[in-house]
Amino acid sequence: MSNANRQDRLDRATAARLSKLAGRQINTQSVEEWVEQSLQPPVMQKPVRVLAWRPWWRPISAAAAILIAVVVGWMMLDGATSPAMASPTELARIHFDVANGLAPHLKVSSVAEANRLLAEQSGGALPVFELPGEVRSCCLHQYAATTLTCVLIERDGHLVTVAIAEVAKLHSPEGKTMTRDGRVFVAHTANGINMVMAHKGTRWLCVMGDVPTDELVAIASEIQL
Amino acid sequence: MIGRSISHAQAVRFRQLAWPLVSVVLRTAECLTRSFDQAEDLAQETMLKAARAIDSFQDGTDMKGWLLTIMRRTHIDWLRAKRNRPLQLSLEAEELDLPGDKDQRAGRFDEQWEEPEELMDRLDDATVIEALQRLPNDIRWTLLLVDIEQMEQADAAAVLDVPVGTIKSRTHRGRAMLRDQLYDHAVQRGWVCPKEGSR
Repeated sequence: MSNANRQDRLDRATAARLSKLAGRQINTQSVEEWVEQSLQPPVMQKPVRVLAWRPWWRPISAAAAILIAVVVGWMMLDGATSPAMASPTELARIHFDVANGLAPHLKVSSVAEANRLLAEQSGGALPVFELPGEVRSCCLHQYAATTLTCVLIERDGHLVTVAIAEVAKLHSPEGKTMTRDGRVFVAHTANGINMVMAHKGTRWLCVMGDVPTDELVAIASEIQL
Repeated sequence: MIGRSISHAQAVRFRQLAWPLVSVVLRTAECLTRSFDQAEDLAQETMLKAARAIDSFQDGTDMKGWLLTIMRRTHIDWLRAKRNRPLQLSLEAEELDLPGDKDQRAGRFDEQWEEPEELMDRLDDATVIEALQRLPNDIRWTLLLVDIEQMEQADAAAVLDVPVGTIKSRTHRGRAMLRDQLYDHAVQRGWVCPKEGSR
């Protein structure tokens, strides 16, 4: 075979092999879908049908407006007076911030000092009575449209946060109930923080920390509200 | 995503003329890129540009050539964008097109091919495509148009914007370069034994 013939044969074999690539199956679905989607005209907003004002609508619309105002007003009034539900998760976060000094706080060494400084901070601060532990710091937290008065105490080497609010503003979510000395406590755990909640008179109380629930109940039962 | 939409009439024309060739576009893109994802991106961009420019397509002319011209320009833009990102620059022939590559001794193993048809048929599509991807860009485009898509040399010349004579020489050289790539592969598989002193 001459060199020219040989070269021609090689070229034809190469071209023939390449031509077979045109027949291979290829999945074009993804490309087709994407292009189709891109070619869709932008969604046109339907023209707003302007309602013609008719005389007989006037009394109906006036009555509807009054009804709506009454309903909205009632809902706002109801919302303003109904106590909010305390969130264990949120309370655990508050304890974490208080115990780690992450929230603005005042270092205090006694309940009297805490009460005095908190009162200076805000008229909404609720006075705290004697607490069973060494007082470390205090602060105010805005929570669920009310003010939480928080005091950090140390008891047996553990940091415990005592939070107080008005019972009219905050109430306890349902949970495991525990009774001690005739008082009922609701226990919760969130993010590894145990907490017990109770109310007495006009006060709502939550005692929380990384300590056993029984211990928290013991602390809470010692607090005079 | 497309920046602006096209009219209903344009969409109808695009679907009628260009849509049937989406597989050609994607197949070509696969030979130009390193992954199927990239191939899909290139095909999508090409089809969208075609849809937007469908009014400029002249009836009676070659739609395949028109689409592949758009793809070639898009591909060039891609390569330029890559060159402008040095950290992402790949040291592969397709992207660098080193002059030395083109002048490499193409067909240096041609003497080794005993039964070229038989050996070519043993090679699977993926291997051939991989070999194509290693060729310089202009050579690869030429083989894509002439040998795979079976375009006339004049039409291929129009797509690549070069004289017909250039297409002829690139075709000849490109086939030889491809054979060299494939021969290497065949040797690695043990399908052929290189004659002594040939490499």
